[in-house]
Amino acid sequence: MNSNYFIEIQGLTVSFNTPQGEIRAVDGVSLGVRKGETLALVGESGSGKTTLGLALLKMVPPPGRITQGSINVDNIDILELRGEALRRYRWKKVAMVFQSAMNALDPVKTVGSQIAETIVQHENVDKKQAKARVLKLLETVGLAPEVAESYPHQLSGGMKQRVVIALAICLNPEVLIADEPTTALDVVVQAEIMRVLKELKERLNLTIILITHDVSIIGSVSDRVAIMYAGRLVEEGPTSSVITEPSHPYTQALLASLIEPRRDGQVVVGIQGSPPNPLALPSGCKFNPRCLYAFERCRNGEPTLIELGRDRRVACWLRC
Amino acid sequence: MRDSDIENELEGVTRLEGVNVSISLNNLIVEFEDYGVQLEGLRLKRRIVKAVDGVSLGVRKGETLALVGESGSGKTTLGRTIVGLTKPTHGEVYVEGELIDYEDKESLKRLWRKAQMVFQDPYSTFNPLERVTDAVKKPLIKLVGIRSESEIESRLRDVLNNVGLDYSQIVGKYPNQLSGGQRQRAAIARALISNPSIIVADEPVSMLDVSLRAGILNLLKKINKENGVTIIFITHDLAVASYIGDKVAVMYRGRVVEFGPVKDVMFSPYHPYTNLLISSIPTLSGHGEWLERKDLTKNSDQGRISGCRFYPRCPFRTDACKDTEPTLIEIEKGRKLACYNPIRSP
Repeated sequence: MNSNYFIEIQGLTVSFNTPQGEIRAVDGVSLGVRKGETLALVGESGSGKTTLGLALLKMVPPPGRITQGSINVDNIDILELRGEALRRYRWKKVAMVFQSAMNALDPVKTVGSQIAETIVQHENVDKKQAKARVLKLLETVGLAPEVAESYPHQLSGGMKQRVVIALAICLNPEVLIADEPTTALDVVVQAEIMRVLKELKERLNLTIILITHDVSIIGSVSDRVAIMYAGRLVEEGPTSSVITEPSHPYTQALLASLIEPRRDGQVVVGIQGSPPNPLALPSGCKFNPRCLYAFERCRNGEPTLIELGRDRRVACWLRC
Repeated sequence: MRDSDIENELEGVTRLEGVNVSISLNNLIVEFEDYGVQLEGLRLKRRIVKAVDGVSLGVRKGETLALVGESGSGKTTLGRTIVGLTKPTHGEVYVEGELIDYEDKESLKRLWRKAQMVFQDPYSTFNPLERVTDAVKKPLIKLVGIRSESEIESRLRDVLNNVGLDYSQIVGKYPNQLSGGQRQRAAIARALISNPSIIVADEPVSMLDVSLRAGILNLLKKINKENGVTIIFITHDLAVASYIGDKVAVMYRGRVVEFGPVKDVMFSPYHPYTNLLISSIPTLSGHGEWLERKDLTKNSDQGRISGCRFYPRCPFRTDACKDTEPTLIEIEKGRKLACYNPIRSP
């Protein structure tokens, strides 16, 4: 793999040992992200996208473990990080906006003090300096300075989500992982949050990994897209090229299930069947039972990612 | 459409009447008491929240009406009122010509036989300790009063088949053993089993993966077409509304601000708020542009002004909008609008 990647994941496998058996939430994923790039990590629930995000912070919850592979961020092998070094890496190098984090804000503290507290605990600054930084951060995410004095319940969902983003970037991380940042929000607020992420990327040169199940939002923010299915990477490439010429049948089906708001007589079909049971994955290509084009070979052997040219990769026997 | 229907619709706020009418709402107001978290001194301050504030609407039999708006717009409250789960403070609800008496259990029971609801969250809509098939059967026993085991069983099989569920795969299972898509289909089966003529579906796809959404939407479309069921589809997503709805009512803070055939509204929205909703729909080529005034301070839901509710956010506001609230009037055949400065597309 190319070494100009800022984040470089090689053959990563994350396993969960459960009483029913081993579940590989992430199975042999290799992926690179360049500095300043926004990568959309797309998949259905259970596809392993959140686990991959947590692995990047070395925060896979037990009984999950990283059993194979490596993760390098800015040439640091993060799987080797321990103690203080790991603490510094988390939040200062890579920060994450967790799914529904906006509901986890402390209800009895003003949002300003919550952000200031995080800054004071990690950096050698006094309260006054921290407060100035809070105002700057709020401005960065498009909130008025008064919001610092507000309690979470006084804010709307969209404003809370902005606060959570401000909290994530308060120690000036280089990478921001956003896990489903718009899922519980209305369309209008969704659009606003996407705009905030876009601005952050441009103003702070942040590298962003956007985890989402909603393919419709990737077009407005991401440079590249990686599609996951059953813990595997099935397609990857520049967003515009994947959108216009999806190569994997799963990607094609995902895009075909989008409703175009102003098209008459459109019939969206969705994808037949449901995501596979992680304890009883089908043999061969994991998508084959739901795939419209599956043939003999798909049931027998699992395809690996192959280069399609133009910076694109796909794992499908149809392309071999 | 009968002539008398058209007459009534032209008058704007008057009640839609006639045998083709499924639901007719007449100046509906639903208020809630909110003790909220606003402290005044050391006492909790009580305030009245008007979730629905003067809605008049008519829905024809066999039609699909999409109720669209942000959270807090009152769309769910309106839907719950139609199926008799929430009592209106003021105004009238007619379902198939009958005025609903919310104090009368018998009147409500008759309503429940006609109108059923599908809720947003397929994970919490079923009792976790009850088998899904038992929950689906229940309306037949409780509402329709069928006692015959064999009839119940055969109708259960029919309805499951109708919603695309395999009887043998779900019989005897508990909710946690079904996937989200299966659960939402089962919820639709439960709503459908008593053969209602109206189904109110509250954001039935918002919690499902994109790949499963199309299946549920197509299922509701099929139920509407083949069984002639009137559908009230509640959503915050105009793209979904345009896919499923014949008509759309756009709600903002308890009021309908725009109403009309969904295609017409999508292609030429007149209300600035409708325009905002449309431009917020994510498309693969990126978001549309919107010129909303941004002054995000505290939650703007609080203060109440006398004029248009959208005034604080509207880029086209004028002084007229500040003083008197615009009413919903018919501005073209079949299209209604509550706005002084409508957007006219070029």
